[in-house]
Amino acid sequence: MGKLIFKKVNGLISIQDRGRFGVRRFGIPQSGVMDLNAMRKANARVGNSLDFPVIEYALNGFTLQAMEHSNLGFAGARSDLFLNASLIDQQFLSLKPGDELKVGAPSRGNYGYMSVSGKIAAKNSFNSYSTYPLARLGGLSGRYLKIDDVLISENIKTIAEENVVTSTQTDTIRIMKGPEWNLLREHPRLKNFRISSDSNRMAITLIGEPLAHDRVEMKSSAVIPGIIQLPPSGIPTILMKDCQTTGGYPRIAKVMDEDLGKLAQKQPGSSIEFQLVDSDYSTK
Amino acid sequence: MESLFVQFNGLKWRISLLGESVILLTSTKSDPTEVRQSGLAIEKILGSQLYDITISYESIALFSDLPVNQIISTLQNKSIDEPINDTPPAVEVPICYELGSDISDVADYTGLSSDELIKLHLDGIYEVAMIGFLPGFVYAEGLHQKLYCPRKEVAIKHVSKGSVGIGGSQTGIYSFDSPGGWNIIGRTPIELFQPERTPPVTLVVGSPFTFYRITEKEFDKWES
Repeated sequence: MGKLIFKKVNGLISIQDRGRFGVRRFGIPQSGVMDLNAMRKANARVGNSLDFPVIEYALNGFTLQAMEHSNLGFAGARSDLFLNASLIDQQFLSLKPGDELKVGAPSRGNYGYMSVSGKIAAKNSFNSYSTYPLARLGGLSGRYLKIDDVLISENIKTIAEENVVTSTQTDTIRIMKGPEWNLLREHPRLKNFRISSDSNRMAITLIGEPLAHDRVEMKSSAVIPGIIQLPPSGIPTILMKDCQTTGGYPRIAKVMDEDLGKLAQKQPGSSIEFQLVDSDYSTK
Repeated sequence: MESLFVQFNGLKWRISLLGESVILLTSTKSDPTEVRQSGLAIEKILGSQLYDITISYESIALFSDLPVNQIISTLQNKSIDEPINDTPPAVEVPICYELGSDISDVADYTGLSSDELIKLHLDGIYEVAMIGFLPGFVYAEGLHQKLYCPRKEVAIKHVSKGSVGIGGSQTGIYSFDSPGGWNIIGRTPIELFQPERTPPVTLVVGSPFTFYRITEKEFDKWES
């Protein structure tokens, strides 16, 4: 349980869970946390079910005040935490009514996660609490959080799960071949790509030398988070959680689901190394 | 990657993986109507083992935890025995051409007068080919060849919800305010996406629809 009020909101803060599934046929994106492992870690820290909705924050931090006793867990990109103006070094916090917590801008990563013990109350849209502002789905009234928003978590008994998978620490991002892989004239690992600061919840754009490829006119077709699209410029774009359900560019590859969170946390300017893994149909 | 094919509904489909549990069937023959019917048939055949599907002009993405081999053997050499009788009901879509900001550009390009353009557009019988880009955004087929008009060179930042656009041979309806590059010839007041409704969209893949003309006054007073 818990009750919190946002006193300052500086970045993009939203309620997210795993995302929505089964509604792509209506053109509804998956949405959901950019870093699934971090969401699960944050939930584990307060003893929640690992897939409960959490607060995802990017760009800048926020300040909140406890209106009732609230237990909070943090994971993902690290932020400095100030409890009643004193810097603290903890990833689990127990706030008393009146306590003020300042969460600084995320560093060493892009997306921070805060869990609240109990289940955060939010709008359920198509079996998910994930915020998708364009269509006002999930979250608090389907929008990013703002000043004076009150977050309530309902006391729900859960069996704490311990098996949080820790992601590997290597820099490589594993990819599988996409439907239009054969258009490539050179292997993506031959080029050094870096993350552009234009990246957001819809897509990560890259900076680097163009990939040589054959041009084709494509009809729009299905895309999903992780798909690496190759526009005519030859500079790949990687689709992320809020991406559309269809797209018109060649899909040369897809980032493996397990590495999507790691990719989401790579900060603008950092380089990215693709490693092709075998995606054999028969062993799927 | 060596290509793998499956024969289904009289068409040859190339099989590829879109994701870890997403299989993409791409028709080797470009026939959106047959692709659409095949997609709707596969939905029936796989039932609850298919948790989502994206049907588009040339391909069908199947979201399923079934192994690829099992999906192939289920579909291989099958054809749709009975016609799909439960095609979605026809929808009549009101349109106000006075709110079509690019109608004179389309008239210029096509060499038609505005009246001729509107008549050709109203005479058309359309069918939803794909939903994508935005929740509930409709890509339709059935546009008269004389109305083909290339999309704008530079997309504009704000296209109003309900705008009916033409981009090359494609036509569609914007379900939300959004950036866009199609030529807007009119606007409908109906809601294409209503999340609290089941299904949340007015038009689904395969829905046949026609347009009927309304005035600007009727548009303003419209209540869905």
